[in-house]
Amino acid sequence: MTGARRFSPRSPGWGQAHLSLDAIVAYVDDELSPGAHARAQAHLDGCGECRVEVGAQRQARAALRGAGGPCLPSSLLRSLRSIPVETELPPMPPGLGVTADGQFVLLRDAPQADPGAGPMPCEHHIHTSACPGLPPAGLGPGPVAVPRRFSRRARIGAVSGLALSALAVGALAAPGGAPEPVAPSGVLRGAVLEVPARLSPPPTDIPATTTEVTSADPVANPAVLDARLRDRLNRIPAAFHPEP
Amino acid sequence: MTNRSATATPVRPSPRGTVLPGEGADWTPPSWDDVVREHADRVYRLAYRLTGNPHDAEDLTQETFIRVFRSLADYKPGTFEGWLHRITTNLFLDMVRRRARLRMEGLPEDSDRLPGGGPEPEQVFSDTHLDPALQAALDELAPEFRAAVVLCDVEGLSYEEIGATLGVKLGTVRSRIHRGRAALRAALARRGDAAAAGATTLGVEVAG
Repeated sequence: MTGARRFSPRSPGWGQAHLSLDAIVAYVDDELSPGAHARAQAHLDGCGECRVEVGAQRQARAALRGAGGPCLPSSLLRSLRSIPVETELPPMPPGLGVTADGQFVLLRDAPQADPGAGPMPCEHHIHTSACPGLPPAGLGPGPVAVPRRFSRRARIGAVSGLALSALAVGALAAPGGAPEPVAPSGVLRGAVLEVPARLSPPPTDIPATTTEVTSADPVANPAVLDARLRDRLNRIPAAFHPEP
Repeated sequence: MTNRSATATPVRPSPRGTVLPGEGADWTPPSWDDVVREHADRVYRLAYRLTGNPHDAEDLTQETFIRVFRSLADYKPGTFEGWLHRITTNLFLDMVRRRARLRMEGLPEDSDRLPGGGPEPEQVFSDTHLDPALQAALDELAPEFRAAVVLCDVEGLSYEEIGATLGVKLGTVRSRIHRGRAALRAALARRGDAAAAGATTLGVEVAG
């Protein structure tokens, strides 16, 4: 610690001076440098007033440290575990678009342009590369419009890790979350505008196809729930891949 | 597939058992379940001590993990616990400020699960076996002071870690902890809880 000077008694006269309150608390928490600690100790040996201060701090500290903690409710544990299935994703960040054939493109020249310019988001396509293990037929028969929310999820699933990290940054400012972003790296790293203007889905993916879904209601259509789950899992970064 | 415990022989495991990338050649990433299992208790305990009631603690815990999930792609290997502390504490302070604003504007009285204004303490604490006098005394502290004291004495963080979590300087950390503890002790004494205030002896210095 840097405390040698800082934690000296408030005035050089050891006789009358007392330890500063900062020094008292740091002494109690063992946050003083060895030298400062020794000086504080020497002072405490001869100063009853400061010993009382130290005792008061220790009392409050012990009351908290000795107290038990609450038990995590099992219902809360369940809901935490289901976050990957339940959590809504943020909207597409500005500057990222999807072409009609399902490719992701970055609008390098017009990142702030209105949504009408550049490639249009494809509302009716589900990019099956988001669910490599899922046979397209599993999504269900019949042509029905896919809700915007769901189709967006599926599209996001195919973005590379780089774009995904940009999406995560976008999440911090999403209206659905708490108003003020607090996560440690709320800084857009500028990656969006610096990567190549065109991102293709990973080569190992199934080629983009057009698929329709009967019902997006996970209860009515278990296949949708499954697709959502797979989609969510696919979007977890590599370092956090779920158990199979 | 691979089970973490079966394959991971980390060269240098981090203190709490989370093996981080780069620490071992055969590192296996934790699943979301692993993350929840390993950290949910701590986050909930912190949330509980900060908010003072189970309802807000659950909300805060849930919000923290959602934030974590959404930001996973952004997470850089480092102290995962530190990240969690920061998110939890800052979401708590946001919540307090938001509610204070609501109060100022004279908006709904029923949005009143403010720290200290929650369910009947007796009910809460008979459910959770937490010391009611202690939590009530904590609830009396200003949120910033409470956060500093809780991070120090419940979570056991160093001053430096607390400063990083709250985004304040070391001097501010020291003074918040000092004043927070002093207020906590006074509140305990005022509540006349002999068990909480008096059972802990004042320490050898005073006795001598």
